Amino acid sequence: MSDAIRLTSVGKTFGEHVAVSDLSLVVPAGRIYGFIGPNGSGKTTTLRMILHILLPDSGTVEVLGQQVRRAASDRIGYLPEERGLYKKLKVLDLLVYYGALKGLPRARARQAGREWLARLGLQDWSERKVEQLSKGMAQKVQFIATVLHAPELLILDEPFSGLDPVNLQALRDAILELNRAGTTVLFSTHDMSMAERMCDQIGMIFRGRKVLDGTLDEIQRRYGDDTVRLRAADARAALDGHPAVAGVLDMGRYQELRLAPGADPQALLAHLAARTRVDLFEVARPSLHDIFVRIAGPEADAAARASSGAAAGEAG
Amino acid sequence: MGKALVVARTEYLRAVRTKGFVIGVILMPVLMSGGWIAGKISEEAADVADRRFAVVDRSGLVLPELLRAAAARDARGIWSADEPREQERPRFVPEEHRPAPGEDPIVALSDRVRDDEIFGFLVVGAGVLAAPPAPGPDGQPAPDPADRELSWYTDTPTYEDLPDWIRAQVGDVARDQRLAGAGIDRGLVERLTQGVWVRTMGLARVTAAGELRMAQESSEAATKLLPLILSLLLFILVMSTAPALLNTVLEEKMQKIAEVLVATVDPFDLLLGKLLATTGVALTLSVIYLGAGLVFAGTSDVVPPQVLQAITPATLAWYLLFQVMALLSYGAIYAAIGAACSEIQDAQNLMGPLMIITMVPLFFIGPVLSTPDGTLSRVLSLVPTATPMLMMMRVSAPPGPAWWELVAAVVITGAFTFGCVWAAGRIFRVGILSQGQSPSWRRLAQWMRER
Repeated sequence: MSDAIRLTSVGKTFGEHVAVSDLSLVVPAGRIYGFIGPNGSGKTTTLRMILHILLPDSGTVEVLGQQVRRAASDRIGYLPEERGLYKKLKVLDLLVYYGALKGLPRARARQAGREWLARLGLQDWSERKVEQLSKGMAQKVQFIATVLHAPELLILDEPFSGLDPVNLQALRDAILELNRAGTTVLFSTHDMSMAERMCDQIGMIFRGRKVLDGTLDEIQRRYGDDTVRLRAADARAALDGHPAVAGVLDMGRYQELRLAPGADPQALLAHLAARTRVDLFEVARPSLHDIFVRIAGPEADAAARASSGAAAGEAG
Repeated sequence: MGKALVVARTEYLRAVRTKGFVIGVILMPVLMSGGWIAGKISEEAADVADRRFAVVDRSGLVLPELLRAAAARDARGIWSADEPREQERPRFVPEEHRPAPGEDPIVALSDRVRDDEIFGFLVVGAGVLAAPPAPGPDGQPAPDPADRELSWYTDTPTYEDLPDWIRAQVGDVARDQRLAGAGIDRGLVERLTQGVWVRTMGLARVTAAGELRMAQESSEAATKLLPLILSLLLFILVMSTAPALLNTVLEEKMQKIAEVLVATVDPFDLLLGKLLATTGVALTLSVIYLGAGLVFAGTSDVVPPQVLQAITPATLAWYLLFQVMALLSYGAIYAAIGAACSEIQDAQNLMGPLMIITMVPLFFIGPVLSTPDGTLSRVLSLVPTATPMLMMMRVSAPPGPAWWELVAAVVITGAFTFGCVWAAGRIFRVGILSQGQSPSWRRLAQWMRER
């Protein structure tokens, strides 16, 4: 299988700020690739380099088999995180304009626009002005503008943010359908459960560097079976600093415990059962959410800052 | 280029299909004739209250003349020409003031002015109508006696119609009296002192076929008004369309449309498309106004035939060329400013200096029009920011620039336009995605060099 995207040792700096450093990444064609990372970690910069809106300071960017030197390949569809549409244009006119910019003949763009509007339940809005649309509708129109020209590669920056469950479902179905038809999808998200459910492969970037890359199974396997999902009455008091527990992540209705290396989950269960009523005790692999927090949470962040501070101190 | 045309087509249609465009088309001639309309309105709304004034006539000869002239003016000079006749100007109502014994008339009458009883007062010296004394034997003018003075007192010195009228009336009376005193016939003097009239003519020439073309009387409408109208139209169309680019680009940035666009279109193509659309809009307006002007000139009796003869295809072609170059260069700069800023206020700060540069040619309209081939005109019309307006003026005002000046203008302004579009393209590319504080001029220069 060929690669839709191949980044090799890519770096990008803005003034003093290193946005992306030595990043290598491969997105195989026909896959759905989830791109995760905390805010400000370099995701959008990476996406913009893939789109050639920005040029890398170092390394190479190969997209759909070509090292393009300029932006705006008609084979790519891009939905940026910050969205906007011409408010005064009519919905269908807007879609025709975007389609024409992507090289579609106007008549073809009009037809495809109508089909997509009908598919996402917006057929009655085609002659209305964009400013009359609700936020969810506008987001769907923006999505249509992104996929109207049937791109081979779809790059979506936070496609689901701000959508209600019904619109979210509609958009997810559309993305999956496009993928089944052969479109490669790269999307960034903060919704870890969405990434777990949709993505064939997941990459994580933190402070401009790649920290995770692989299938969900590969990633979880790397972190081992060191996680316990626990629902119990007054769980925190019952745990009471038990040495088997290295960390607790409160998920609301249950706690996700990270076991200390070598700890025995059965001993912990016995300890808890003796103190409180246990409704759920499940030994599992860590969730993507947990892995994300382990890498980029406050503790990890403080540790990273301390080590870089120490390094700077030594250097000084 | 294909995508630039898609952008141009869409933006052009978006602009000309709005109600604002249609209103603008109608509104601009209204604004241009604003001075004339304001004059009409002030005529309609003129204050026609009587201007009553006192006269202390120490000559005993002036007041009767003023009363007679005021009566004549009341009958003829204050009414509109058209039916129904309406009073357009105030009556002037002189009244005699005889000072009471021991009274200082200046003080007494000043109080009456302050009390709004009278508008002002006139003090006429006893010898005001007498001829000035002849110069002495050495040719030196003799001292003028104080009793020849005519003084107008008022607390509204800005109202000049009344003192002007008084000066004219008393002047007439004085001249008649002096001529009569010297035994000279007034009609004879008028005939003998009549000025000479200069007719301004064009030049005669012999055509290639050997035919003699006689010189024609030149028309001020063709030699001054037409160049002025053409260059002002060019200027106004640039000013009314190019700055809009700043707003549309800034709007695309603020409404987060820009990123989708630059992921779809190369930023330079995007800029080019926008410039073409703006140029198209301005040329559409030019065609409308020039077309209407030509139809008016061809059908109206008011416009001298020389005007229509002066509007040659070459003049129109130059107009279009200069219009396009001005729009591309100014439009590119405005678009770049829009791309560089994130807030309207920041954009306005950067716009200030540009506005001044744009306005500079306006300040030189007078000198260039009166001496179109003077050194100042020649130099200024080759400064690229001023060329479109001033060279346009010179092209349509005789004698017209030399061929090499036109070539130089096209080369210099063409290079300047190209430079503006190139630099704006570089700034646009970086700026369109920039956020936060607006960049300094230094930062903009840095953007131009970025890869």
